[in-house]
This record gives sequence, C-alpha cells and structure tokens, in this order.
Amino acid sequence: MIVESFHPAFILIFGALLLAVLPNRLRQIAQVVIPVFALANFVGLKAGSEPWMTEYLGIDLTFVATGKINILFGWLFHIAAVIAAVYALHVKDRVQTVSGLMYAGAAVGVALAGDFLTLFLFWELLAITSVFQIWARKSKTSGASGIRYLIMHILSGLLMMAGAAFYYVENDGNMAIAQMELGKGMAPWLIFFALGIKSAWPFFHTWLIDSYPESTPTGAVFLSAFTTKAAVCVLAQTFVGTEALIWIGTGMAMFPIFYAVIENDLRRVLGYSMINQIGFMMVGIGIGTDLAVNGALAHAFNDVLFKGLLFMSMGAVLYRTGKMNGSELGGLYKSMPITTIFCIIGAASISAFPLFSGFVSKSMVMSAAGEGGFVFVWLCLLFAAAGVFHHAGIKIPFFAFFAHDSGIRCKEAPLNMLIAMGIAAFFCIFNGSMPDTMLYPMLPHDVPYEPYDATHVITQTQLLFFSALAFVVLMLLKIYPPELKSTNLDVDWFYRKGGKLFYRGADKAFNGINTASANFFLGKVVKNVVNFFESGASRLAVWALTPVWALQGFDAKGREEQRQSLFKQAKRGAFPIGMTAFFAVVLLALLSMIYFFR
Amino acid sequence: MSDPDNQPHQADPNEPKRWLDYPENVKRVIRWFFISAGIVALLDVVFWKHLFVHKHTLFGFENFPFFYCFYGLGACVILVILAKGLRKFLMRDEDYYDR
Repeated sequence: MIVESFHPAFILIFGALLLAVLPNRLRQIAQVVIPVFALANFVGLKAGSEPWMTEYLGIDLTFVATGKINILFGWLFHIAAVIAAVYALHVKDRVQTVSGLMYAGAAVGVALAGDFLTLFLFWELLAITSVFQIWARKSKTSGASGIRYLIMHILSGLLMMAGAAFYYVENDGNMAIAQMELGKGMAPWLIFFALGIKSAWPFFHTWLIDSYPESTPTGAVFLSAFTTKAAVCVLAQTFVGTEALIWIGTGMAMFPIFYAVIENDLRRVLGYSMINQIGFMMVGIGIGTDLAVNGALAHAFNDVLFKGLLFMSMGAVLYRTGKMNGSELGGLYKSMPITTIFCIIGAASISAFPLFSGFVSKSMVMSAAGEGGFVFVWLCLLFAAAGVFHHAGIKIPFFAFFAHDSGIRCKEAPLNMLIAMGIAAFFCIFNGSMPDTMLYPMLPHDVPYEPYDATHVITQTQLLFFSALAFVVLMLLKIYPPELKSTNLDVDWFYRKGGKLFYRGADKAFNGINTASANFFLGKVVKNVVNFFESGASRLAVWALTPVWALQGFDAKGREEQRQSLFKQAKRGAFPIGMTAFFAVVLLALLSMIYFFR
Repeated sequence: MSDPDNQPHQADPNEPKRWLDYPENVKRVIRWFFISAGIVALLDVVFWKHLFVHKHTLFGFENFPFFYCFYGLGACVILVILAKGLRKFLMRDEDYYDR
C-alpha cells in the first residue's frame, strides 16, 4: 500500500472534503485523481494479508478485514467510484460531488469492515451520504422521496445497531463478522432484517423503486452501484446457506419483471430489473454451496458494472432531453449513436448473452440451483432470465433509442459521460469473454466452472432469441402493452396513500379532541397556553430545519412552502420525522424489554 | 441542467431520412430476425441422440427437443399477458400520489 496505516475508505472520505473547497477546475481534476489514487493504493491490499485491528474499550475492532469477499467488494466499489466520478465530472453542484465521493468511501468501509461496530458506523454513513443524490434533483417530488428513502435506511441502521448490541452480548464480547444462524438469539434476526431492507427484499423494496428515478441523472449511477451491493457483501459473510434467502430471492427475481413490463419511467424499469438481479444473488447465498456463493458474488460484481452502464445511458438521455418516459422518447439513436451502442452493450450483459458479463455469472447461480435439486427455483430463475431480457434487454434500448421517432433531436452525451460508459462497457465485455483473467480468480471459493460449453451457449441463445421473438410477435400483433403515462401501485401505497388516509383520520380525531377540550375548559388562559405550545414547537422546528432545507437546495420560495407545510403538520400534530424518531425509540425500548425479560 | 449544450429540439422536417426510417427496411430487419431465430432453433439438432454434442443437463425435461425455445417464448408471452392484466388493478394517473 502506498499510504500505510490509512484506512482505504478514508482516502475517499477525506478526499471528498477536499472537493468542497477547491475551485471548480481543480475540483474536476481532484474528482478523478482521488478515486484513481485510492484504487491504485488498494491494489497493494492482498486477500489474506494482515488485517488492521485495534482494541477499543475491550472490544477487538477490525477496520480492514482482508477476506476474499472483502477484497472483491473493495475492488468493485473502487472501480465504481472511478466510473461514477468521471461520469459526474460536469456537475457543478458541490453537495452532489462531495456527498457522492463520501458515499463511495462509506461503501468501501462497509466492504472492508470486519466487526459489527465498524460496519454499523459505515452503514449509517452510507445512508446519510447517499440521500443527497436524490435531494439534489430539487424537483417537486424528490424532497419527499428522499425523506422516505432516509426513513427506510435509518430503520435499517437502527436494526443494525440493535443487532450489533445483541451480538456483543450473545457472543461474549466478540464483535467479529461471522457466519450466523437464524433462531440462535436475537442478533441474527435483527441483522438479517437490517440487511434485508438495504438489499430491497419484497415489501422493503419500495425505497429503491421510489427514489432512484427521483435522483439526478448522475445520482442514480452512484446509488445503483453501492447501497444494495454493500448489503449483498455482508450477507455473503453472515447468512450463507440460509434457506429463507432462496425463497426471498426467487420472489425478488420474479415479481419485478411484471412491473417492469408496464412501467413507463425507464429508470424505474431499471430499478425493477435491479431487484430482479439481486434476487439471483440472494438465491446464490441462500443455496450456500461454493459454486452458488461464487455465482452470487460474481453476479454482484458484474451487476454493478452493467446496471451502472444502463443507468449511465439513461442518465445521459435524461440529461440531454430532460425526459425519461418511454412514451415521450424514441428515435434517439439519430442524436446519440454512441450512447445507443453503450446501452445495447449493457442490455446484452444484463440479458446474459454469450460473450457478455451476465452470461458467466448468472449461469453459476442457475447451475448451483439445479445441482441442489431446486427444480421450482430453477424454473423460476429461467423464467426471470427470459423476462429480464424482455424488459431490460429489449425494452430499455428499444423505447429510448428506436421505437417510433419522437422527433426529439439533441447532442450526443458529454465526453466525460461517454468515457465513463466506455470503461463500464469494457468491463462488461472483458469479464464476459475472459472471466478467467480477472473475475473468477477473485471469487472466494476454489471451484472450477466453465461457462463456455456448447450446451450452455446454444441453450442460452435459444432462450434469448425466442424471448425476443415473443416481443416482436406481440408488437406486430399489437398485443404488447403500449407505454402509458401512469403510476403503478406497489406496496408503498400503504404508507403513501394509506398514510394520507391515516392523516385525515388523525386530523379529524385530534382536532375533534382539541375542540372538545377547548369547549370543556372554555378558559382563555388555557387556550393561550395551548396556542403558545402549538406554534412555539413549530417555530423551534422551523428554526432548526431552515439550514437543512437550505442544504437540500430549496430557494427562498421553497423554504417558505416548507415552512407553511410544517405549520400545517404541526396543527395536525403529525411530524413525519418526529414520528420516525418516536418509532425508533419505541423499537429500541421494545428490544431492550425483550432482552431483559426473556 | 445548466449545460448550454442541452437544447433538445424538434427534428427539422427536411431532415434526410435514415435507413431505418423506410418501412421496407424495418420489414427486412424483422425478416432477418425470424430467419436467425429459425437457425438458432435448428441448432437443437446437434443434441439429438447425442449425435454431435452430449447435452449437459441437470433435469430430464431439458432434453425435450426445443425446450429452451418453447420456454423462452412461452415465458415472455405469459409475462406480457399477465402484466397487461395487472394494469387493470395497478394503473393510476401519473400524479396519483401528488393529489
């Protein structure tokens, strides 16, 4: 290592602070130099070398673990950081650039964490730094979406913290991250669900679908690379062979493809296909054989690169045209031919075409499922593999760049975006056609696997061609559902609409109680005291929140709107953030009660 | 989006037509695609009676002739039809959550 005794994550995190103060030209140079330097520095850290440990308050902490899985994800997040930094080079908004690089640093920290306390600290940093990629969009909807995102991730952090505390007690003061078994104490359950929220399991997945399409064109590239894969990294060290993961993963591989077919926002389609891909990884970890785990990790590695590439190509379209709905796009191959080619490379990789990266990793999980005798799971995964080609492989490039010509003309993507896409595209083809060079040697288990045998190549090509045939035939027969401007309901309905109903009910009930008590007391003094406390609290909140709004990028008018809505909410007695904090306290109280009265 | 290069505009009506703008060329592409799908399907022959290549399979049903062709086609037709049906239950206006 070039920088001895300096945690690799802190190169990115402190480097990010540097970006905040440099003038714009220098900032652009530093934005590329810092992650490249961090990557070059990371090359020196070999798997199996001495981990970096220290003792704090009698706990052994491992800041840098050097297991093969840690190193693999360390590499992956460094590469992703370089690509994302180049892609976002033109962004002048400091909040975005600084938080983006810190976010990458937090992900590296999670990848290398060897104990649950270190993990928890980086886990929280991951949540907090990532949300700015959503808020920075400054659209009407991104503020609220960011809050919903943050609530879910803070919940995940709370579960992780409680899990770490229980882990400490249940393992006699040992905090090292190790294989766990569900049902043996509280800690495994808490950590299991903390990881589940971050890896977007069904019912927890809505934060991903909700927020990624709301983020900035460059933000989605950062978001898609780090958060969910950090969770996969930890799951692969803690819950290998947990059968529940097989079924969770099968569900994740299946349900999003139906949504993706009818979704109009193309970045939301990518969000659904992301859950579908993580499903394969969950199945791999759940099966837990050497081949399955290797497959899950190889697929995570490839997924960051091809999903990043797809998000980058769509980000370029959004950046140039300002539009992201399939119904409004089309014919862009005329204006953005290079982006079109990169998008098709990403699409071929996610669909697992021979010579592209998905082909060499998805099939490892499939083979492992088959060898384990999971016929139903295997059939579902094959269905999902066909389905993902249908919506991510065909739909994304087709509706954005071909389909009917929307008449929109714009410039090709900026040079820095093209370079970033080029790097990702290179890795997609390189890992796909030469997996033995870089990808397979990094995997933790030593099991031989040969993706390029005649049966696999021919059957996979047949599967893909006939999936495409279905698309063409359904298009020609006009059965294929047209792209429509719409919102499709998902389980977030329960807290987005159900929540509003609850609001209204609570509004009626609480105001009713207010009126009744006012009538009862009738005293002016009481009324004045009530008034004082009511608006006093909201004044205090406004005073505290104004800098936060400023950070979120609201201008004076926006801040005034926020202020009004806050006063309104105060009248109803319903603070969303206060509520979360309240639930967090209740959760912690419950947990400690369970623990002490067990 | 502050980039001055971001000026999406409508196409000039006199813009020269591209190869794919002619419907007969689109038809040609589709025809090529059908032919290549047919060739890909015929590749299945190499597995028959293990004539040329021994098919590495995990399950018996994989040896059914054209299994992967049927599965890919069937899966996607079912997927699209089910998803289209889902629209009846799930689809709302674009600003549904903002109201």
